[in-house]
Amino acid sequence: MRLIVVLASVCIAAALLLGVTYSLTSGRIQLQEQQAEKAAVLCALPVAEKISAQITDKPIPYYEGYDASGGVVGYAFTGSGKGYSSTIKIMIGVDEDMTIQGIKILSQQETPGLGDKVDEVKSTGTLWDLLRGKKIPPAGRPWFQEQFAGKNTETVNEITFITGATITSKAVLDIVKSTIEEFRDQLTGREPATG
Amino acid sequence: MKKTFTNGIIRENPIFVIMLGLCPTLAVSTSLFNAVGMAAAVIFVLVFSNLVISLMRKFIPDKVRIPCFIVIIATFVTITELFMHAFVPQLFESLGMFVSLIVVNCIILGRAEVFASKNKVSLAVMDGLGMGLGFTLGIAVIALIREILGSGSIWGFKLSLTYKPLLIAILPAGAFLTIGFLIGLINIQKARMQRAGRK
Repeated sequence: MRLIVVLASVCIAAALLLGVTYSLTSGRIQLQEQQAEKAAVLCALPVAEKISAQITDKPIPYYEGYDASGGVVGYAFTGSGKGYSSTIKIMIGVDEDMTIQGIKILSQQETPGLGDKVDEVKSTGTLWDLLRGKKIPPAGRPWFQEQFAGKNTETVNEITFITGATITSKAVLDIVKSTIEEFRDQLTGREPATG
Repeated sequence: MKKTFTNGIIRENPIFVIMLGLCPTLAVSTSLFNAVGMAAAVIFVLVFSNLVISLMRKFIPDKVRIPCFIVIIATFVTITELFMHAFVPQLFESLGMFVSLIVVNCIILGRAEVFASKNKVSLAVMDGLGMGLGFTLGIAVIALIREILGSGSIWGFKLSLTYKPLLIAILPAGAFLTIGFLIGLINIQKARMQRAGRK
């Protein structure tokens, strides 16, 4: 009998403690996630001044980006597919003509040092510079992803692949291309008159 | 009391001497930032689970002690996980599931069973701190070596703009090699000290 009482009360106390912690943190976690998502959309669609909430009535959910006067300047949506050792998830931003405005890799678990260079940012300074108090210029965006901006589904084949990570590079390229094509079909299906 | 504290750091260092908690050590020690984040989570869980288990050592019947320990440990791990997700999302993302896996980290259950359930609260907390710092020391040294060799950087800052990293160091094989060499060196040193002591 004592066994049951002790174990049960330990569990109840634990559950109470967890409930309190959850209610303390859940608001902030949600906020954090919304902010991360918004940042990703703005990163993929830098021309947009404002973005809509996610529109989910179509097979591919997407965001609309507006300029200062409220006109639609582009769309952002996510695509995912198999990389070399993981599923790669990418936020893709395009303008009305389906020209890529930017891409941002949301998640990947590719080989460290090879495939994960899709997220690599060119270093602008060293630790020694930092210790000597030299100003380090702010790091840019990952060079591999930067290449996609301004390309369309045809010219995107010109991007430079990452040395030693052909499969990962090609996977990113294929995901971007096929997702844009699917999204174009979805969009033209809805508004046949456009373009 | 001081002895309990330093015991975990050096004489019974969880990673290099008792060799507990190697799984997260191998997986997370790819960069110093990840290692320190992981170590902070482990210290928090270890100290609080030791504290609570030591407080309750007279109430918990022997037969259900393991389930009780696991519930207490899992509670603190989940609290850590929620707070990490809310306040340091960057760390939460790079550690991924290894935060939840602290539940089954043998250091924590090991200390609960071997030490906290048999000792005073103050000693148990000291033991948690000592073992936690010992774990920090171990994982940080391994991560430092792997990050310097494998990415040519410390805490994300490059040491040189032209260095070509030694890839194997940040791949899983590099973790085994690094830890193997370190334990080897420690054993050589120990043998030497023993010989000196005998003379």
